[in-house]
Amino acid sequence: MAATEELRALYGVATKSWRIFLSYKLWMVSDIMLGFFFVGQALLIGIGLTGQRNSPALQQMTGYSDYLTFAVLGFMVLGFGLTFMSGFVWSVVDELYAGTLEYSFAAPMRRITFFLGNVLVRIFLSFVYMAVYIPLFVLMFGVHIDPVGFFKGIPVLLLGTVGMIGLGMTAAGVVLYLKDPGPFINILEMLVFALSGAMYPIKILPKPLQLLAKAMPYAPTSEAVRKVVAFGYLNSINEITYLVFISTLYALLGYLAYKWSEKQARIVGLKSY
Amino acid sequence: MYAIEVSELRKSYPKKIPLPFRKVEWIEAVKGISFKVKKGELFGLLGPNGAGKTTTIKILTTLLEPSGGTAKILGFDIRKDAREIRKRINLVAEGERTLYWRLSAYENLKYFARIYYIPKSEENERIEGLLKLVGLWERKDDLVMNYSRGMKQRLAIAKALINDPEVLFLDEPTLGLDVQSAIFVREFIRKLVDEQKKTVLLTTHYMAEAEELCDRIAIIDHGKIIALDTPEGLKKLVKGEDVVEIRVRDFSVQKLKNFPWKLAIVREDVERGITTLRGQITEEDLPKVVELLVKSGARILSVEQKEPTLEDVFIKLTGRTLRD
Repeated sequence: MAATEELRALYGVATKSWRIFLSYKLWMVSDIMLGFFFVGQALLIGIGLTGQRNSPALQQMTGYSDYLTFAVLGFMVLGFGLTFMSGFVWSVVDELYAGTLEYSFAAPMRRITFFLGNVLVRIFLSFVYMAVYIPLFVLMFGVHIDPVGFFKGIPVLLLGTVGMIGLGMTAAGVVLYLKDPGPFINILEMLVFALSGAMYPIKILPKPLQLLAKAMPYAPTSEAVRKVVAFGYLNSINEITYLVFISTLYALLGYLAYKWSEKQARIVGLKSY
Repeated sequence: MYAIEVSELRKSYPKKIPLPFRKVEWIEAVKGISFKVKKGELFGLLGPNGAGKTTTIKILTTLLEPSGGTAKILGFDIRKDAREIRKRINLVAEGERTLYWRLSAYENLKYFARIYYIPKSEENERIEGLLKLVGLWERKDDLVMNYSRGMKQRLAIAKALINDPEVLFLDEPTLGLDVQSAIFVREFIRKLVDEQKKTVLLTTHYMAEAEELCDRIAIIDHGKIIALDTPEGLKKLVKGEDVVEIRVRDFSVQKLKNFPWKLAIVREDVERGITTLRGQITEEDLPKVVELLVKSGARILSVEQKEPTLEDVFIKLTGRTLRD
């Protein structure tokens, strides 16, 4: 009975979030355009730096000679991963701005249900975008994606998702606690973007930044997905093992950070803007 | 069993967000208040802005953790049984932006029905009933952003009834409403108590509203309850004393500080330079008050005896008006 009630609440949050998303008519269009700009930019940077789409240096470092395919896979992971960040963080910030968060939090629904409901919508959108991107990228940019390899990458992506949810929960916890979360979100999003390994292999970063990139779940997920897509599971054991470790760590950290922050928010009070 | 039992409730807020190695000063917003509300009672917390009314409501609706003291709602402890309490209560929060403006009224109620665990079989019927009750059924598919302030408040009340709560918390329910909407809301609240036997705790800084609606009123100021009784009982505090209203021109507020009587400014017409003072002054003292006012440079325009109101009780207890 309790599980059914919570599922209905989850459905309620997801429906609400979906309808609000649809009420902003241009969001979906701008989201999809963003993907094309990203890939177009990757193509231009790749050609600008090497004079061609294929790079022997990239081949040596990552196993991918085609920079565009490399970037497209990175973008998929980043785009998917950012859904959790936005699902957790922006759902809190948007509702704090709108003044509606307290009404939702005053209901008996569990607070995690509220976050997951918002995340569900973004996951769904992520899959919709992928379904739009992949055929178009193949047609427009000639991206080479082996369908078997691509589907092999999905379980690894889901494994990385656990860590990304953990990071999202940690960030949501911080946002709930801060008076002005804007600068924090900006810095975090920039960090995630720069250190995700979406556009370049993190091996080219200075050592401290490499460590930082390894300490977040995005780059390890990108690396593991790319390796599994290109070389299969058996040749990617090290990357998968590390991903299991970092995802578990973030899941734990996310749970503890969120619980702590939620308690603090009840002491300090939810902020409104 | 009482619907609400509050004992020595305290709440402090940090002036800045507490961070490691940061010394933070705390402000006490609620300073050990105690009261009990019977089932089916309409209980009011009356006080000026910043008195601690909203903080009290947020604690009782489990949105805030108290710093000290205890509170029980329908026998459930606010610290230990938050979810049990949330199932049985609901609230109308202060302010306009408490609903989803980009959704219709129907969609809003559907959302709240689901997060309040209303069974699917009852959902539509209940939403229809509530929207009809608050007179919004005809506009159920309109986006809330296109509603007037009064309509939004009626929808907020419908939302607060979605789980058929035993206890309802209303934070300044008529704040900012036009006269007609405010009358509708007041009548509606009274009906909820009289006909549906709901327990209601409302906060307000409108004396007339508290007097008209509430069975009992706690006057709260600076985080403390300074008086608690029925409206008639409270007014007895100033009975036997003459309530006088004096209209003066060229009055300086500085002069009031050294006055031996508790007089408060109840109205100020800045354009015409007319100030209305009000307070409890006996017949013997009245000539002395007038003399002092004249000496201070004020010109007396009129002196009128008035029936005591809750404002007079507040002035007697604090020396200020509720608007100060």
